Amino acid sequence: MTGANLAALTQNNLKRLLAYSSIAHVGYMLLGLIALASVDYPSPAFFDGFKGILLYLLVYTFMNLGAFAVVTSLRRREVIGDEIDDIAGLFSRAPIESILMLIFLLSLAGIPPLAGFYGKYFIFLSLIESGHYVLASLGVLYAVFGLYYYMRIANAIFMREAMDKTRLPLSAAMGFALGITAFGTVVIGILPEQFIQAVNHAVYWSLGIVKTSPIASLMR
Amino acid sequence: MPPSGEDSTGKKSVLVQLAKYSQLAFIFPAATFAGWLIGTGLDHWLHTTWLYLLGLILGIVAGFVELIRTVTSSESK
Repeated sequence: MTGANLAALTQNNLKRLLAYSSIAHVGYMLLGLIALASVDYPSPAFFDGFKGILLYLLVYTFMNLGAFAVVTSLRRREVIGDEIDDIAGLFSRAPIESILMLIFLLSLAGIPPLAGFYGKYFIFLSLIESGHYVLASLGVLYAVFGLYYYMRIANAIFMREAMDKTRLPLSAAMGFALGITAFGTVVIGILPEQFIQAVNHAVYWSLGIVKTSPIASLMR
Repeated sequence: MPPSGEDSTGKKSVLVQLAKYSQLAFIFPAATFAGWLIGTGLDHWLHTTWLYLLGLILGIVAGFVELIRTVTSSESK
């Protein structure tokens, strides 16, 4: 996590930054694994650690697919290259994609009320419940690092001047893809109860406490 | 006929491009999770308690190597 955060902090290459940040996100999931592996089953830290890992995997899929969909959409139209400088002033050219990218970045950084917050919340909760206060503090510190390098991207999009002012229309297919990922990122954050219950069910099912699979229970 | 994954203009289809980019985000978590899962499965099968850790470490190393390879290969193209 330390190496990944330091590498991401110094990156000016958008793809590399997002790739290195994925290592940091796996680090958070492994913190949940440390918490659940260090306590006896059953205990609150065990369940919260397990729940945190599963929830993190779920929200990570939505927010990262969304962020990479924005990058893909812009790359496809040859609007941007690989550097953060290439997206300077994007808000004036593609406001919808810019706002969605901001949502994905804030969620990746773990800012409430977006989905990424709840993944981190249960991981930190499990670390505190299992007595790993130093790891929990480091996790929070690295979340601040994450906020800094994600906000560098947002700063380029919203605060800097665009070289080319041409408006960029959003295709229907990409708009649909971005809509689904943004919906997941925002709805899990604003209405987390339903998703937390589904994750709880998945935890109980994988531990053999309940017999109906999470998918079967969702279909009911 | 254009190669698989390319449209009539020779550009890669949006799904192929999205897959190529999102690979950067998912390759490391997927390898780590797969390593842990295989290790945990072996622990259950062989009645051991440490293979999950070995699987996890191997998954992390494999994911890291593949991530760096993907980043460097996509930049050299």
